[in-house]
Amino acid sequence: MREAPVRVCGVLAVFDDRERVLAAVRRAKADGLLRLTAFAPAYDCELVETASPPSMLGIGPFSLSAGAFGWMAALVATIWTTLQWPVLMVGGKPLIAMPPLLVVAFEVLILFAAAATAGMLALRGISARPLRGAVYDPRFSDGSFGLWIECPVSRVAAVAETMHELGAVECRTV
Amino acid sequence: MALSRPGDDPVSERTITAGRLQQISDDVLAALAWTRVGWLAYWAAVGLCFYIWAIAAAVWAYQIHEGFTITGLKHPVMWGFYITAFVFWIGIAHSGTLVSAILFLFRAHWRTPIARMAETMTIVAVMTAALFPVIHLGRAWRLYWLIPYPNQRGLWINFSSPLVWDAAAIATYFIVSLLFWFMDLVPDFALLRDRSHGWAHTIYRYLAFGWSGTAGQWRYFRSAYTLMAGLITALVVSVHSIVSWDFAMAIVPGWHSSIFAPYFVAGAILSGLSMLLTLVIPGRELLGIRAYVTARHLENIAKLIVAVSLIVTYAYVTELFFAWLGDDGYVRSAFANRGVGHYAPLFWLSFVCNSVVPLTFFSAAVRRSAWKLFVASILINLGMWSERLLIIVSSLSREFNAYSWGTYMPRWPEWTILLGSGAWFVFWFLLIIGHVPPVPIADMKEAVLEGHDA
Repeated sequence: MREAPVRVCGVLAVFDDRERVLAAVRRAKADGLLRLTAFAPAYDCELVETASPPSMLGIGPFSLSAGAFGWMAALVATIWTTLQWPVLMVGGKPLIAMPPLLVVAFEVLILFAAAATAGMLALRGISARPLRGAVYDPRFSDGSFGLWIECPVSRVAAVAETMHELGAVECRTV
Repeated sequence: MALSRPGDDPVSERTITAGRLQQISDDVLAALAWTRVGWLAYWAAVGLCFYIWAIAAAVWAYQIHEGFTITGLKHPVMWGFYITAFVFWIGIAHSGTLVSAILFLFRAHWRTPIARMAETMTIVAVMTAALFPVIHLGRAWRLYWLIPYPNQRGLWINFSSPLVWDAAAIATYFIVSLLFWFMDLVPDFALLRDRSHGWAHTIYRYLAFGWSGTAGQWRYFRSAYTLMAGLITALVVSVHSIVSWDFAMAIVPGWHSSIFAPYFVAGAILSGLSMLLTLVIPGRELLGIRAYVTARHLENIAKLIVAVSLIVTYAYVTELFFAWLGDDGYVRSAFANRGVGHYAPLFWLSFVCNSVVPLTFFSAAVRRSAWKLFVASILINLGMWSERLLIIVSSLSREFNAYSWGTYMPRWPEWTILLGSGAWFVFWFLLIIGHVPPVPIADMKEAVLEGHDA
C-alpha cells in the first residue's frame, strides 16, 4: 500500500475558509489552469459543482446494469433449479410460478445494484491513492479546504502568489 | 460562529472557517476518548452483556442436546418465542433504515446526528434476528440446506416457499445495510486516519479506502449514497413485507390477510423508532454528545412514533372490522379469541402500549421530557413484542379443528434465550458504537456548510 511517486508539478494551497477556496477555483479556471483538484472535509454542493465537472462514467448506469444482471441471474437460477426438481409439491400451482420467483429476483436485484454502487465508490477512492501522497494534507479531512493546481514549472511561483493573495494560509509547491 | 467581514469581500457573507468544522471533529471524537471511569463502565457493560448471552448460548447448546421437549413448543404451536423474536428484531432493524435512508431522501436534515446510531442499530438487530431461524431449526447444523448448491440428495431449494424468500431478503438486507453503514463511515475513517499514529493509523488507512476528500470523490460519494438510499428504501419495504408473507401466505385464520404487508411494515417502524429512543436517550449521555443529539431530535422521533402508531391502530381496527364484516366464522372466532380468550392479556397489552401510549406524545410536555420518552419507548417495545407473540401464538393455538386446539406457555429455555438475544443486541451495539464516531462527522460538517440546522 506504499504511495506511488507523484510526477507532476504544481501548487497545493491550503485554505481555512470555504468561500476563499471557491474564489480560488474560479480564479484558476479564469487563468486557464484547468487541471485542478479541490479538497473539502465534507460534501459541499457549490464546491463540487465548481471544481469537479460531471464524470462521463456515472454510478447510476453501472448500478442499473448490475441490478439488471442480478435480476436475470436470479430468474435463471431459480427457474433452472426448479426444473431440475420437477416432483416438487406445488399445491396446484404451476411448477414455474413467476410470483415467488419475482420476489427472489427483486432481492437479488437490490443486492447486486448495491454491491456495484459500493464497489464503484471504493474503486474511486483507490484510484485517487497515487495522488494522495504528496498532493494531500491531513487538515483536508478535518476542517481545512485545499486546492491542487497542476501547472508548468514556469508558472508555479505566480500561481502560488495568486493563491496567497486569495487567502491561502499555506502554499506548497510540488 | 460564522464570521463575516462586510464590505471588503463579496463572498464572505457566509464564511465557514476551518475552526468551526474542526470543532465538530473534536467534539465527536471526544466520545471515543474514554476517561478511566468511563472506560471501566463501558467494558463492564460489554462484559455483562457477554456473560448473559454466553449463558443463553449454553442453554441453546443444552436445547440442541435435549431437543425441543425442554421448551414449551409442541403441537399445535410450533412457532413460539423464537419466531416471535425473529419478527420482533427484524422490525427493530427497520427504523435504522427509515432514519438514515428514507429521511435522507426526504431531505429531513435533523436526522443527521442520530443516523449513525440508527444504522448501527439496524445492523445489530439483523444480526440478532438472524440467530432465531437457526435456533428454531432445532438441528442448526442443517442450515446450509437453505443454500442452493448441487448436492448428492438431488434436491434444490423450493423457491415457492415464503421461508426461502425470507432467507434471501434477510441476507440481502444485512449486506446492503452493512454497505450503507460503512459507506457513510469512509470519510470519518479518513479523518481518524489523519489524526492517528501507529497501528491505529494503519487500520484506519485501510478502512478509509484511500479517501482524500477531493471534489470528484465527493461527487461520486453523494451520487452513490443517494442511489444506495433509494435502493435500501425499496429493500426495507420488501423485507418486512416478505416477513409478513411468512404468515399471510398460510391459510391459518388470523394470518391469511392482504393487509399484513403494510401492517407489518408500519409495526416494524413503530418498534424500531421506539428502540431508537431507548438507545439514543442513555447513549447521548454516556457518549457526551448531548450538544449534537438534542431534545429536538428526541421530539421529532416522538412525532414520527405518533404518526406510525396511528397507522398501526388503523391496521388493528381494519383487521377487526374485516373479521366482523366477513363471512368466515373461523376468522371471526380467531379475532374474538384474541380479545377475550386465553391470550387476551397480550391483545390488550399491545393495544394499550402501541395505540394508547404513543397518544401521550401529543402532549409537548411528554415529547420534551427525556425520561418520559424513555419509559414510553420501553412500553412500546413491550407492546410490539406482545403483538408479534399474539399474532403467532393465538392463531396457531386455535386453527380449524377444535380437537387439535392447544395453548403455548414458554419455559425457561425460551426466556433465557430471549434475554440472551437482548444481551447479544446490546453487546454488539456497545462494541460498535464505542469504536466508531457515534455521530456522522462529515455529514454534520456538510450541514454546517450547506447552512442546514441539523
